[in-house]
Amino acid sequence: MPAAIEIEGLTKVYGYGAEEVKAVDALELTVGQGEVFGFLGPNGAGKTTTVQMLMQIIFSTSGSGKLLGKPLGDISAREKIGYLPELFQFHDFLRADEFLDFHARLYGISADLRAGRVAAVLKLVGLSDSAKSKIRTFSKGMLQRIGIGQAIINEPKLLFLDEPTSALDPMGRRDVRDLILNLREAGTTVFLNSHLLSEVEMTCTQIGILNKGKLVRVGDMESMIQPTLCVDIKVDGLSEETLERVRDLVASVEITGDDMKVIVRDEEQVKMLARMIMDSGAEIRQFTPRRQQLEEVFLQSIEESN
Amino acid sequence: MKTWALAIFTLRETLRTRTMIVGLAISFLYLAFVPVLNSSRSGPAVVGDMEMTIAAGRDFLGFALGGINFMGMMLAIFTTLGAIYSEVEKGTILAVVTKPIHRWQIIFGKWLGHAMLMGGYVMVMGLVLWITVSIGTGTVLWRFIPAILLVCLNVLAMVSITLFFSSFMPVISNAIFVFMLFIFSSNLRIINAIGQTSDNIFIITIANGLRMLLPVSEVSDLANLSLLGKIRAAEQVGAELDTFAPRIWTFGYEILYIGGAVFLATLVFRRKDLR
Repeated sequence: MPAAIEIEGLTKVYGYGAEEVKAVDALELTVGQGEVFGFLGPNGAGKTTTVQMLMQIIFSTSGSGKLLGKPLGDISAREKIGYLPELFQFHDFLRADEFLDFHARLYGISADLRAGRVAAVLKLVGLSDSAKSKIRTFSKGMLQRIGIGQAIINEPKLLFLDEPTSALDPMGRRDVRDLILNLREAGTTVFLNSHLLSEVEMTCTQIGILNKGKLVRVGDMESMIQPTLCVDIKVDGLSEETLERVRDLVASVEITGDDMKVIVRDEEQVKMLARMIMDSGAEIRQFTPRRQQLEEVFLQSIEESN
Repeated sequence: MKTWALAIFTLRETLRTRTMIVGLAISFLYLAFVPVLNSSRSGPAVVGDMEMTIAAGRDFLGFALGGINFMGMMLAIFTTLGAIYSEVEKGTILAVVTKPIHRWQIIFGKWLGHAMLMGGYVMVMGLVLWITVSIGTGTVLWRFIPAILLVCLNVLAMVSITLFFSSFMPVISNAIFVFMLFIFSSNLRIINAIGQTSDNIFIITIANGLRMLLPVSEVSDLANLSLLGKIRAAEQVGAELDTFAPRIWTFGYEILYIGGAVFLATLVFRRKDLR
């Protein structure tokens, strides 16, 4: 089975000479089928440019790629691909059902299947009651939902979502999250561009972090986050001598005012750390072991690459 | 099916634009008042004699045809100005180009939608006039059919050239370019006439060559010629009889011109970054 996404040396350069800007720089990436891939990066990192190159909205300066085993732009592959652009804009004179029907026609879905598919998607995105309403009357959240609807009307094997929850309230975000998890269960590969790290953390199986057009980190969500155990500590009366012993014991210690963030190598070290501080006579006000958050991995990766 | 879906979509989208609604309203007003407008012109009067009645009917159709030709071309320009570029600017094109559809199909679908709408507009306007005049004169004026088909061709040419510019130009620049081209090519008949009266083959060649940049004015002359005959057609367009000589083959050239403009639009759009 071919990978869902294969990218080799994909590069996009804007401008010429002194004004040349590399929006994406020799990107190499493979995403297997059935994965939910979270594509992270600060604003201007090149995430949307990458997706737009994969969807052939813009064309790469160099490099190549494959989607579902077919070269970029292949029409037969696109029949199995869905795409929700960032800040999706609509032909808003259509009704919701007409809009989805139009996009189903563009996918080449036959007439006998279209009506059923449109109704099913409207139900899935929670817009069955608004099927006959003009899109121009929709709220931002409803627009985002109908946008997702057009992206999944073809029951895609590969789905690109560019900031799918940017306009949604918490309820809407939860619905999109559930939708992604359902698609994941059904074996759909999802490529998710998002600023919302918590959302990525809850839904993705793999993540890639892009900074200044370069992929600075990529891997399984578990391998990237799970092994890193953190302890947030607030303590009174900790001597310099004890602090040095703590530093020798653990992977790293970061002190900000009264707060101490300690990264340990395994769970055994958590117990040893607690015992060491208590034995020193210091008073522990807070001792919270936790897995490192995606946000910390993200910020660390960006800082290192800068 | 995908191209057809896009064509129907384009037709529906354009039909509900303010430009189209205003254009249709003006057109219906024109149809209603064209007999009044025509009565103020000089020409064969209806005096009861059958031949004179037919001549007057044909003259009336010739006058009305000029109006349909002009309004059709203006409407074609205004409704097609933003056909591609506006969609790119607004971002509505993104969900279309990422579907399993070739970019040439998008251009062709857009063209087809505009062409059906504007072609339909000309044919309906023409049909109403033709039937009215045929009933009024008691004779079917068959010479109107090639004339209205040539007007239809003109309108399609305007759709095509505007669509071509729209594949890479913003609306305002497109409007400036198309109108400059239209005004320029419409006035080349005068330069041609100057060349003919002064017997200057160089001026005639240049004028005739440049008219091919947008052949609509010469095809309009052909439409008048086929309906009215040379004398009345020359009078109709305000040309000297000696210098009024539209070339028959220009309608064939206009068909190629339409195809060429659509083809060029597909070439421009094929690898264009849509951001």
